[in-house]
Amino acid sequence: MNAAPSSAIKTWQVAFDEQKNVSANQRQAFEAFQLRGLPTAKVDAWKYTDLRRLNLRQFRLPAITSGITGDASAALLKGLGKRYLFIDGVAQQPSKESAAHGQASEAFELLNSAFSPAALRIDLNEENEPVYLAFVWTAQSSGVMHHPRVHVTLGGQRNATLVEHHIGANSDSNFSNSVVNIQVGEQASLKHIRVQEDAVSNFNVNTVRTEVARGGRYLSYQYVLGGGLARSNIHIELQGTEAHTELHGLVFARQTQHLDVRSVVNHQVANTTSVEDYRGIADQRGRVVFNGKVIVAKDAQRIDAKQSSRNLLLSPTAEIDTRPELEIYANDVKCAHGATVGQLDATALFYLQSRGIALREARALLTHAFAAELIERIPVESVREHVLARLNERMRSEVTP
Amino acid sequence: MLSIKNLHVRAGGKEILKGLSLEVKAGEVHAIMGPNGSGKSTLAQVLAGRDGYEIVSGSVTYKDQDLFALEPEDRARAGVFLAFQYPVEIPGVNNTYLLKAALNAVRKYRGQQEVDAFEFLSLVREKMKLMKMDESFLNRSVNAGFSGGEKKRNEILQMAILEPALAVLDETDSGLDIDALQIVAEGVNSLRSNDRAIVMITHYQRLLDYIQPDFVHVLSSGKIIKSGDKSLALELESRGYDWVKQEAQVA
Repeated sequence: MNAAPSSAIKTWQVAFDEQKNVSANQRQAFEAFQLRGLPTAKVDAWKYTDLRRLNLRQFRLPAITSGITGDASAALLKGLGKRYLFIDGVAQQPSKESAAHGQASEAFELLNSAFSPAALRIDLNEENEPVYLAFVWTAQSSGVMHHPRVHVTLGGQRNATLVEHHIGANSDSNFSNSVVNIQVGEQASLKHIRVQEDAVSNFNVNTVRTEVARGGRYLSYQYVLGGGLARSNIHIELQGTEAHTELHGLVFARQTQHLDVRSVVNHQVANTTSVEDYRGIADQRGRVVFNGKVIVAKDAQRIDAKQSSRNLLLSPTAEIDTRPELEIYANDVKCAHGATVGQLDATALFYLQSRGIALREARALLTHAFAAELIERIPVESVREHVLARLNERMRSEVTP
Repeated sequence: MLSIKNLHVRAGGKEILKGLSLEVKAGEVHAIMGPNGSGKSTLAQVLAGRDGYEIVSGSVTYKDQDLFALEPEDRARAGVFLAFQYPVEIPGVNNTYLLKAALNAVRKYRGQQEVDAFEFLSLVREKMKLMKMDESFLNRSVNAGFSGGEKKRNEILQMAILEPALAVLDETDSGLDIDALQIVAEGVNSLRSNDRAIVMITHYQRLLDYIQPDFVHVLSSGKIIKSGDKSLALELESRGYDWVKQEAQVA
């Protein structure tokens, strides 16, 4: 791995030195980060996402480390269960537990460890309502970074839903680098809905690492609409037999948004299954990157892994890169994957026009249909309605010049 | 209503229509028959405004305006309706939504107010009854997973709701069993009126047993080579197309 230019490292160093009461773990993580720097395009997993834009910025840490900051209630989703909020990088609830370090291996996780003195623990065992985890940037926030670390646990036989929401349409040039570690117990089932709709000037790198025990189910629903330069890393370890995961997602980039999703599903043991279904849309100068990797470990037999990546390119200046990857070390496996990048169906457009629908509207209608199919899978009605409303707003702005 | 004069059209580097002329007046029903590859579907597509066709020469005037100057959606709003030979499946776009959007687009063009939900639903229900369509159609995606017959009935349902001045039916009878054919024909017949013209493009005479045309034209190699009344269709049915072609060559 190539080290980042020293000037880039220095900008992180300045922020690191601003921190008070740095733990040994934090220092160790920062040193490890310094050694490797942020990945460059030479690293395969970052081939299509250039981080120089991020590396050259100087971000400040939040001015305070705890307590209630700005009022963000207007942007929050209503009607869910227990809330955990981060507003302008500040946890709105005390998180005393020191962050678990050592397991981090990727640059952004190291960076997170270096700047994250404590982790927020969310225990989903007794939660009957969807738990709401929101990261909010208010209009007061500009040039701020935060590195939240969250540990989520769901014990055996339990069912729960976690709604993770990244908001801040009116904020400017902030950087969020969240790490969410999730444990799904035996025969437990976790639905994780992640909605990202922060400002197009923001940077958002997020890492979700999930371990699924025997018979457990981890169902991920991810909707990436916001962020200027954004990367989602989802890493799932199917550790016990009959563990199952589903990854549903929609990535919609426009203006100059660069939205990148990388998933790794690791079938560690036999009889585990995974389904991945992602759709990407790129309009204007937007760019969508999708890389889905399925690993089947040696002797992990009778694996069923399906993966689909369908993409819609709406403008000649937009770009979509999609890349499915299989790494199989066992022989009795069923792996199917398909990736397509296409344009709106000309015949369907003409059909709509021939019924009096203006071309611009017909395009919006077909794009909406393509996206809505994925959104309709969101298992919590209020969240589903919210994301659909966001999509409708986008489509309306396409129709009205 | 519709005046096509000496129309030449190319597609894919090949001349498909080679001097086609046709006059259609309000209240008339015309049938255009012809063998495969004669240019029947090209005519339908060109009238509706599908791109990919090059108008080499000639003119098409609809209600005293140059039809080719209008975008496809404006043709539809101005009252031109094409019933597709192969209606397009559009997953994710709701049937009711399309019907309502189409109706409102047409009404807006005519300077009428948008329909309210109640008015719209009672109109749709009435027309669906005519086409013997189940209410579940309303909640389904446009043509998605419809059988061939259902798709064709859906085309006529759209036509019944939009009430076009000029309807072009492109092989609406193809792929229909006799029951579906009767339903479709009934729907079309209910739309015959003194201020509406219908142009049916068909390969077979069978449809004309149910929808009686005022005029029958034979389209061959890109132009109309013979016109007559409905007895011409019967003659074509029994004698085929060759004698008309030979007659045309002699002339």
